[in-house]
Amino acid sequence: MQPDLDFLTPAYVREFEPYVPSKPDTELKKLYGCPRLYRLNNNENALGPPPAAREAIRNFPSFRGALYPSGDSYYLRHEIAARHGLHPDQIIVGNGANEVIAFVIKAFCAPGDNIITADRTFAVYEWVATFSGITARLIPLKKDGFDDGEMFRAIDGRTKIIFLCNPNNPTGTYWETERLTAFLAAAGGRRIVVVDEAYCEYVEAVDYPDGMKLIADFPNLVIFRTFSKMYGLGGLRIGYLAGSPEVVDMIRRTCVVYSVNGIAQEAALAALRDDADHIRRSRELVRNSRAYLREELGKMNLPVIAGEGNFLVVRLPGSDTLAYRQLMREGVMIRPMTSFRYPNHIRVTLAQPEAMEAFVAALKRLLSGEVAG
Amino acid sequence: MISTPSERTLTLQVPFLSSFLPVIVPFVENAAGAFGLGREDALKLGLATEEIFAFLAVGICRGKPGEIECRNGIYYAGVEFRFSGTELNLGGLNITSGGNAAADGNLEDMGLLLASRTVERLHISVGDDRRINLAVAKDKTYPPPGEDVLTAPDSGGKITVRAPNPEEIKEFSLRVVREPTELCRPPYFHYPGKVVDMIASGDYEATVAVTAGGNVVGGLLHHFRTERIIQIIGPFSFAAADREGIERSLFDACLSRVARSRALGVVALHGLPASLAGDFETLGRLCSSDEDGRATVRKTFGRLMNEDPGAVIWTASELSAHLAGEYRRLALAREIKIVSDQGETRGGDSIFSAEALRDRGSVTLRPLWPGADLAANVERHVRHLREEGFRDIFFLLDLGVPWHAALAPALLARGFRPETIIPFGGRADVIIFQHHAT
Repeated sequence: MQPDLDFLTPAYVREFEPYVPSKPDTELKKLYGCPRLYRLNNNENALGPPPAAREAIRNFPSFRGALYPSGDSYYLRHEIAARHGLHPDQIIVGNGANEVIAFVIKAFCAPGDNIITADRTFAVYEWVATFSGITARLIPLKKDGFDDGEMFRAIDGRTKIIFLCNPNNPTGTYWETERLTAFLAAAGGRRIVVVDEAYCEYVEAVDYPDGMKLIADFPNLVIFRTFSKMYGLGGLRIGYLAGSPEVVDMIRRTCVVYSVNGIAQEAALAALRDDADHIRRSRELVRNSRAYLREELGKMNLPVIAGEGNFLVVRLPGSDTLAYRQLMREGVMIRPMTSFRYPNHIRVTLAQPEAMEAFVAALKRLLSGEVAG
Repeated sequence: MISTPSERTLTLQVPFLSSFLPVIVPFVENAAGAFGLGREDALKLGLATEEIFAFLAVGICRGKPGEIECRNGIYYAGVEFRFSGTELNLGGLNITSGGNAAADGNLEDMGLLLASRTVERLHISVGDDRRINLAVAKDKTYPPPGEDVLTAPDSGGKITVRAPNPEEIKEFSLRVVREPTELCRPPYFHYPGKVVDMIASGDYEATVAVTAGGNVVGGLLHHFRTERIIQIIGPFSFAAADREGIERSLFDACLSRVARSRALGVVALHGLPASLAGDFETLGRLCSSDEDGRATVRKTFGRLMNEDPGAVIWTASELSAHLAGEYRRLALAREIKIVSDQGETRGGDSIFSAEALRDRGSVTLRPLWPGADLAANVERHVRHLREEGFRDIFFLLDLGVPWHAALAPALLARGFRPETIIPFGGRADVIIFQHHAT
């Protein structure tokens, strides 16, 4: 007998459309007939992890595959806390920052509650809320940045969490310290403000706030960070949140322990301890690639949204999803932005010169009509 | 007041026996009346019901248990006949069947074709479990708009793009039919009240551009044409200035609304303003003919919402070169697999579903069940549908369903030409053939 899925499944789950990730590179290369593929779609660090993290992965003893890891990432939490002057209990490590998004929503939201975020930002806040039966109120960006005034006006008695992405993916805009602290103060104690700092290590602007330093003054603040971007550990899935002891104590009730594997914990720990030169080299690479792309795209008269972070957004004269397919045939994978509510835009990871040059050359061929489609 | 979904259906369980006709027909007529259909329309729906029930009761499912559901679609009332097709010869479900699939009867014996004369839509689907759903729908009759003069929209100032209220929907509809446009205008725009109800039903959504003074200066409708594909109608712009900007704002707003929905793609089969042509790929073309025989050929457009994940498609060798060329042109990653007749035994009668749109003189056929008589069935459908006055005959093949591929040679041999590909319009891509009378 078939299960009665209409009866079993809440409507907000039934009606949610699952995200279908890309096929593995090998399959994509076969599909698009390209022998080589530059991955410029996921904002991965072209330099990979820092040397010490590579070493940790290489040296991970195979027999430890049979042993459970630290269930709460004990040593890693201590290292993170020490770096930011926090207590280790103020940190929760998750299987990628995506997992900690779910922890926070589960901890604070019940059906009928709502969260507030932007319409054109990282989609996972909206997704997790929606398939959890929580309304996601999406405030349009203003000048490609989060609109503090409209977000504040959208707050009502059932608003539990406000998600900010700082700097924003995909626009690279950010709130400076004064704007962020004013918002945190105004938000008050009846809602949590999450600031997702996934790309913070790439930011070079001097007025960019370090959210970790604000936790002491704003107990309603929760910070997300990840090892997937600057630290080049996206394949191991590890990220974390930090907040005031009382808030994190509540979030911990909804988190699944043992969800972070041992290799990821050790690699992340090693990455933190060996990040100074890695961050310097990564920033330099991104800075140079951004300048190169700005110049080349400018020559093509293509508008660019380029802020902080290891990515930029390009407005094309036509369909972004068609451009994705055409560029795939040229061996370049970018992210079409229609699903980010930026139709006809693509997001490009700022990576090594060879990849940037391949992208520019392929884009030129595409715009000149040399590529099929 | 719009009824809630649970208030929109009435269901009767009944065996398919002619003796129950006196129960069924009043049930449908009264339900249609309760759902807001006028007396004349309710009687027409009752007449279609009588034809179908009698056709089923004396033919393919005599005495079998079934279910009849009346549905309030807000702008239409519908009747669905549901029954299990297990152990039945389903060939009789072809719209051109006289009840006995083998027979090639005359039009007056064809119960389903007769039924389609008094309703706007007739559609048959067969589930994988051979559960049959035969549906007819009768649209409500709406009054045409008065002769009110529409004032010229105020110009200048801020234009807001958003979902409209009912009065704005009416103004949008009026302007669509009264303002000049290159785009095809579906007939429902002549009845603004109907468009309001189409949106209230949830089947369609609208986005409008409104001036600071409250005038509607543009609009766009969208709806799910298939499970995964959204169709847009418009955008229409009526402003004196910056028409292109308004068209783009409307389209971008529509895309934002559906960006994180189940939609894999958007199609525009009714034409597109020139300002948006670059946002779409040309999928092909389709032709529509009016009552005077004038044919209008329109390009069809589409775009995907996300990365193309690629697909395997099945086709006959006769169509493979055409498809390979089209996929190269559209830069779609497809693995083309050729299906060929290896002499295997095929049995039974094939079934095609027919979605008949009487007011447009068009009918769309889809294969529902394979059989040994594909070529003959195509020929029979074309002949009878032409005799019945349908001007535009389309045939859709789902390239993700291997047995559909066997139909391509029969279609090509009987005057159909492949005209448009809708990526992910079915299990995989759907190809639309159109019949060209010689």
